[in-house]
Amino acid sequence: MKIFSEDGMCFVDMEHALTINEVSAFKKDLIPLLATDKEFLIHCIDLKEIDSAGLQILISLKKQLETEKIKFEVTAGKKLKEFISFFMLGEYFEGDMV
Amino acid sequence: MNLDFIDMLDGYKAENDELLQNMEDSLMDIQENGMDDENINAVFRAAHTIKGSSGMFGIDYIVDFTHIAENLLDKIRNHKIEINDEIIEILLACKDQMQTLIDFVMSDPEGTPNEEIQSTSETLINELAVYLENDTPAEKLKDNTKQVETTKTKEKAETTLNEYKISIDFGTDIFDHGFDTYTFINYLQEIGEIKNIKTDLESIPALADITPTDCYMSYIIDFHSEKDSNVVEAAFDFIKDSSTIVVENLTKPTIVIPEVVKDEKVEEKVPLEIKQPPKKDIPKIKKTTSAVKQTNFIRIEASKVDSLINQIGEMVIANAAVMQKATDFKNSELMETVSTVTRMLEEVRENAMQIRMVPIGETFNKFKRIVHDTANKVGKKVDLIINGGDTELDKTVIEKIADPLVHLIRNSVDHGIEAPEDRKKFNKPDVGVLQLNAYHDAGSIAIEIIDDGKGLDADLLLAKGIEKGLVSPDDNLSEKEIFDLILQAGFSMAKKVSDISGRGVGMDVVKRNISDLHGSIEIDSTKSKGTKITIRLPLTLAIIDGFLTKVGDTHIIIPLEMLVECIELNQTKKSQMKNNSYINLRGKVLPLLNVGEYFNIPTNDTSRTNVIVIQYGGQKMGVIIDELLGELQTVIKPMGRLFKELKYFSGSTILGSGEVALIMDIPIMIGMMEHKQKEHIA
Repeated sequence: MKIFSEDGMCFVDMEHALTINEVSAFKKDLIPLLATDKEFLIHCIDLKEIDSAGLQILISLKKQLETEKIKFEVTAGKKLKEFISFFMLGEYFEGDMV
Repeated sequence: MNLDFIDMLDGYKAENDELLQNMEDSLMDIQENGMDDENINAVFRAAHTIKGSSGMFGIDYIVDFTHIAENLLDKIRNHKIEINDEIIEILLACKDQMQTLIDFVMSDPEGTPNEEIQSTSETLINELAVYLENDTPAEKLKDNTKQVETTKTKEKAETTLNEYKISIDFGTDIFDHGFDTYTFINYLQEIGEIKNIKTDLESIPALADITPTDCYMSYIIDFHSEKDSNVVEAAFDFIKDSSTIVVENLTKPTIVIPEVVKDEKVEEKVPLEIKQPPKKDIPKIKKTTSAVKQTNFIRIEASKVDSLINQIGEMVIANAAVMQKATDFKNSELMETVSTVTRMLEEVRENAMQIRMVPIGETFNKFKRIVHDTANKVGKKVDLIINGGDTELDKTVIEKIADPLVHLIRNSVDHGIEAPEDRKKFNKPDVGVLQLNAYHDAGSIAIEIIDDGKGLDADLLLAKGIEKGLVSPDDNLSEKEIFDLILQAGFSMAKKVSDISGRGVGMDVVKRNISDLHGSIEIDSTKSKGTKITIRLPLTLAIIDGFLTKVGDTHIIIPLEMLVECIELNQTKKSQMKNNSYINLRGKVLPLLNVGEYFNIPTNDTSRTNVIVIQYGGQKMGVIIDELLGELQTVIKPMGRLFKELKYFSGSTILGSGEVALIMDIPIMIGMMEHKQKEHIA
């Protein structure tokens, strides 16, 4: 996972995995940025591995950002789209997925 | 099998091994104490869970086999079939076969069992079939086992498509156990069709409030399947203790079933816990008290605990080195701080060691089956009585002692306890008694195997020993020494060799295994009355509380648990001894061993020496040493091959100064002292 934060915009490249192994670092690294950044883009195009813990943290982030009225976008690759579709959450992420 | 699950196989095996052991214990209980609803339900639940988890893994050959055994168990628990010894034997054999099949999965997850395994499964299915259906041909029944699949394929139009509403509230700890909600829901697709999934988004906290490794996922799933609700529930067997799963059948059960499988189908329709009501079927897997209790346990790979203990051992040594430096520098503040760390380390060590301590009862319970099988094989009747099953012992020691115990138990049943007709001649009851006792005794654990059989004939043993050239006719052996002959290699008294015992190999191996664990074995027997074998083992092989002493420049550690008291041996007492190797300790004779003299250690000729009184197996002796240095957490290090012959020391440890201290093997010392005294008397 790589995080770039500049001019109030946070870009998170999830690289290949968003699983139980990444979620703790995901929260730890993003929480401080909530106070500074006004736009979050989670880049999941290259994702090869995702699990429920990964999906859960994405939902959790989306909820947090909605509360704080911070813009949230996810660039979803095939793997993430399949996963979201399996759980029938397309509607929930509609408008956020690019 | 479903390859998505391959990483979970270890968990699958561990869980099922436990269930199979429960199954065996319950069956043995039924055999001993008669039919009991609780026990038969436990056996049924074990079979049902094994079937469910195997189904989830896609291991069809286990599902098919277990399904038949489960059907019979269901009839027994519903009192449609009366259980008897013959059925118990078949069910025990089925349990063994399930174990074989599970072991096969572990060895070849993607393979198919070989012909031998398949043939055993078929034979057992045929045997079960006899009880399941009156005069139903076994093959027909075997075909019926697959009715859930085959019937539905052939007679699809005639079967019911169930509409389920499945509510799943996953337990917060399921990620910790390596589970993923996706895996369970995805499995449903293999047994039916998911129509809709509604994720409860409200239950997931916002990022600031979430513990990312906890699971907050809850779903409501509309699911269509031809499978019975039991099968649907079984998909969640792995997590039923920590999660809440409600499976509601929204369809009316329609029973339009082909004639040939009607009974079998009805059998399948009987749910595990809850009967299927006409309108709504709501079998609910609740979080019960026992389930909550189970979540307090976690399964840890044994190697991780071993590694933790090793690391703590190294920390103990490193801490001793720091303490030594602090003492050398006479830095009192540092010494105080190190003392605090030492105390804390001691607690950590004790807690860590506790993780490895397991009750020996788990091993003892496995012997019920061995006694039962061995007795049946040789046509004897034996009652096994277990005492002290909750006595705890290091897991490593338990693992190593299990095989020697099996050998001793088989010997007792095969050679010790007489056949019923012979017992009558001695006015003994038909049923022999074999007792397994375990208790803690001065830092060690004592395990007794006591039988009320024919006992050992000392005269015969001696004659055999002389014949084999193991002893000479001139040797004046005590009864105990004669009994010890059976522990020698190649010594067998069995008149005929059976596949159980009697080949003269084994008892020497038993002795060697026990010696390797720094334990001892003692045989006591009375002709026609019975035999008692006592094994004493150290509680642990890793870290002990020791007492550091010094003889000359050599450091010697006495295991604290075996130390009774320390006495100063001043000149007055020395003169009272009059060069004898014993003292009068409060009116009792205490034999003494001067360690310095015995091991030729150059000692400083000081006027003050000390006696440490040690005790093991009810025997006491005193060892004379120069200095008492105090208690020490002792990390046991093996002596290495070079010192293999050094039998009076069980290991060594590294002191804070970097010097090596030897750990005295108290059982060997006491044995040696006993021998020395005997020689002296002779």
